[in-house]
Amino acid sequence: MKTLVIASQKGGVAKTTTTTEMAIAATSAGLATAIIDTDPQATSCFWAEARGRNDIAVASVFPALLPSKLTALEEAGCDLAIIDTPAVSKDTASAAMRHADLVLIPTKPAAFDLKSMLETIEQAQSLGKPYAIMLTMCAPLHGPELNATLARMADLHHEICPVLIHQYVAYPRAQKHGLSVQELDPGGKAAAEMRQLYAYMCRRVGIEAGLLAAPAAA
Amino acid sequence: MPLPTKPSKPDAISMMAALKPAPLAAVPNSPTTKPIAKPKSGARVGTCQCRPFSEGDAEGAEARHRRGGNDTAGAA
Repeated sequence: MKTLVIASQKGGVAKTTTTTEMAIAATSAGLATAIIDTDPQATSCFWAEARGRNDIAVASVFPALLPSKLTALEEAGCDLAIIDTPAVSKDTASAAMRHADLVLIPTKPAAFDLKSMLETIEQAQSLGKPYAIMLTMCAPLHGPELNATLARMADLHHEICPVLIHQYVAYPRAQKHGLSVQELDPGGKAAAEMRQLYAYMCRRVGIEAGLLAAPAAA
Repeated sequence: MPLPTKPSKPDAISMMAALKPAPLAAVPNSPTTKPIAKPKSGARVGTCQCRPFSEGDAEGAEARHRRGGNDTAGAA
């Protein structure tokens, strides 16, 4: 089993969106996938409630129980566990990162977000975990902020996910109904970037991406 | 000899079962706990034996009752 952790000390950077989208992409590719929600706001769990189907395992788990729950998932035959973490909780993020095969760090291309990002990177580095910075909420028309952020990250020599995640309206529309953009609008730009992100994640954690067929439209 | 078959992927429900909290183990009755004796017929059960509050009783029966005081020892 591989474990993907989505972490950022900053809130509102699309952690849960990334979690649910990666879960749908992995499930669609035939992987047995589970979401572990360690966020007290339980947004992933609310998404699962809105979804109203039993096709993705989503559960709220106390950080202290992560080792035993991950073992139980592995014994049950799970291929990929995705851990959604809360903002502003270094302890929870660290507890999750300890089990990570990859830490994805969503970050908005904005000055304050970059500061929080560096703190999250330090956590991953101190635990010796592979990580990647992922730029999210990018304006569909790339402005100077994005280029400045990319240049700054290149200077810092951090691993950067080559897939940019944009602020498309498809994301909130899909979440409202407990869907992914890959289900809501399989042919859309948001779905395309999520499939690319999934392929990148698979390469990094050592999963064969398998079939990346777009899920059936909802 | 037949080849071993690859186990099928678990579904979401079986993975949810793995994530569910473990049921609490039943706690046996403590061997030192004595069963509660039934009250004798006519006995006052569950009532305080303290004197009722009366004029001039500075502390009051209720206060003594709250602190678990012995009413018969007499108020200071």
